[in-house]
Amino acid sequence: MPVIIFLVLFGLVASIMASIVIGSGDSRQQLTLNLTRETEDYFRNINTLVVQDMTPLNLEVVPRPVAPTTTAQAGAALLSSQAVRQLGTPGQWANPLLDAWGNTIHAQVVRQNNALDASTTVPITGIVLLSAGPDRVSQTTITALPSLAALQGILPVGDDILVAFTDEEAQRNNMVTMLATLKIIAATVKEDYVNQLRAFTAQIQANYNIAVAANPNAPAPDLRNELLTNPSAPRFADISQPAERRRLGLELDIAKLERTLPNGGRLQVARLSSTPLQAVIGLRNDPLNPSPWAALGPHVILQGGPQ
Amino acid sequence: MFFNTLHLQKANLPAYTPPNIKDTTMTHTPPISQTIRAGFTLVEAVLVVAVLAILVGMTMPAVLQFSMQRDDQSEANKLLEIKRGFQAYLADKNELPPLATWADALAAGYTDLGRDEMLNDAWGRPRALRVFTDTTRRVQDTTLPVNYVTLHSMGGDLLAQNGPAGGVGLTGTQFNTTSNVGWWNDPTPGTAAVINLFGRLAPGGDDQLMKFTDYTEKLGRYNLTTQRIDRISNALEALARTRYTSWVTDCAARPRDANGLTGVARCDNPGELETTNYFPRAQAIAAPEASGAGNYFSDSIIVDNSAALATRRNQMVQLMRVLGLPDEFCCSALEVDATDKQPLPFLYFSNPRPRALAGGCSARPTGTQPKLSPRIITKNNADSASNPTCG
Repeated sequence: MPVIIFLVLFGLVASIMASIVIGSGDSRQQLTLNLTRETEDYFRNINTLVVQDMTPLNLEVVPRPVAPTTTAQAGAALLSSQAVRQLGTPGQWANPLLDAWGNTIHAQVVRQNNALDASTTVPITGIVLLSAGPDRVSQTTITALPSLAALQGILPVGDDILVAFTDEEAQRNNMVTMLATLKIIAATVKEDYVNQLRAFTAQIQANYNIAVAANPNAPAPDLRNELLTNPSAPRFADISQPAERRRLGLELDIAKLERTLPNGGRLQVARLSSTPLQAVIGLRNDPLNPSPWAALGPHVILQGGPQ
Repeated sequence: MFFNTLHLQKANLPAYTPPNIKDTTMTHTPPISQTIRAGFTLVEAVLVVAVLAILVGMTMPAVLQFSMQRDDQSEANKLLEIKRGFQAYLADKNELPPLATWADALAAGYTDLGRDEMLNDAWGRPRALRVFTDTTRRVQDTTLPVNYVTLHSMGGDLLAQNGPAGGVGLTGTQFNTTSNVGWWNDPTPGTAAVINLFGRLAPGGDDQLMKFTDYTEKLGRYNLTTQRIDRISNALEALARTRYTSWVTDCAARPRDANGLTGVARCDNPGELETTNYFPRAQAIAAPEASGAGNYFSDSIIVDNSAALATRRNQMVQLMRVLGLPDEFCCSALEVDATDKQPLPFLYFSNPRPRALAGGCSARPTGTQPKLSPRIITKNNADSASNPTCG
């Protein structure tokens, strides 16, 4: 009997302890899942921020001047930037360099100029974010990234959390957006040219009618030659002139492209070349404060002459 | 030791008289009850309790630590689950839940937690919710309100301990309250101070803190909105060109009428088309006008910017159908109306004002003055002295 009572009491105490321990285990497992998700969300938000905010705004990820000498320093600079800090911090830590468990995030940034097409060269930034995960021990080894190509082969090991991405797609989107706006601008310049051409043709026709009335043998005018030599012939508007921009209602479209970037750089919308029969509307860097883009390719070619 | 104890004699049993070995008859048999040892001796009981006490004493610190850890983990879990609830609500409703009833709102399908589980922490004490709305944040080229939310638990010691952030000024008496003051030291909206403060916020002592901002959600919705505006602009331009072509054909086929034709296409002057406002900008040289600032009607697409919200939303939906775009393109993905909780429709200006060289906006083109392309803008992009959009 005493043995039974003792065993019952012992079992009771043991079961209470076990329930506490087991309950704690469940809670810990749930917390591990939640903190993993928290860290993944943080990395995903940084990815979103870079692609949808920083690159469109700066035309690069980290505004110049970029001084870090190593890719790891550049990574820490990125995480400490005001743009990333506005996301808050993972878990309950007040440090943007820490994951949800409080371990230092291993961040590396590599940047190189890549050609998006034959005439456009832009800085592409590759970013690797690595958390040691729930076991707080990183099994993934990342050496300094020599190039963007090195991002391809990086995979997480064990319970590590890893996100690797580039902003190339965002830079392509920037180029597409620029080109779309340039097309609107160019279409307006073209329409203006066509209107001038219509009026000029009517004027040539009127002059010819007068000439024929005076001299029935007057030669018919050569419209193409008139376009090249007549000072009153239509010309493609010089959209670098404020008055021309206003006349064509293009100020807002141009302002989108010519905004001053956070690094102080600036693009200029310009008539890159112009003859009476052809014009190129495109972008160029402000000579004093160039944008991060090394070569600006987006442009539209307008053909003049009889339409 | 246990087994030795069990073999001890019970002291309170009736005295046992051994059989007289000299009694050769052996007729005395002791009662059965006397042969079974029942109950504890005092020593046994003390020993059992002592052993249990030692056991409990040895394991209690660990068990207590486990218990506290479980509460801490439970609180951390719940804070993170509440954060997911906020994110789910925001994704669905495009705004934060009402401050006064946030727990009820989240409990309605946005989290598995019940209302009281959200209002009270793992120790049964009320949590404190704080929301700071920065109404002047610049996102790309527009201004958006960005929300910063914190949910604070006092932790197991039931004392509010302020974290290292300079803006923390919450006391225990402020718990069980929902407010947009107290936790934040009134940073100036639109400044780096908001971001810096939010980034530095951390719980002090054993307090726990959930931080949440809707910045990336706003960013995504901003991009979605600009995509819609771009699609609408392109569709308007395409429609303008199509109509222009058909009207040119129509006009050429009509005999010139000195009085002009009423309606959408008049060919009252040789060589001149009097068109509606949908022609490409340089060719839109004239248009029939409606009265009223900002209102500009055409024959088939009518959007009255001064009409009631529901009417305007419906008109924009009609415009989207004419343009062959989804109905939801009628409206901004960024904001909902405070009253009907529906997305705010874009403002549509079919005959926008040109920007003036000296700043501000020029007069709206009339008569034969050149017209600009129709313009779609959001509520947030409305005119201001520094950023005139000139709708």
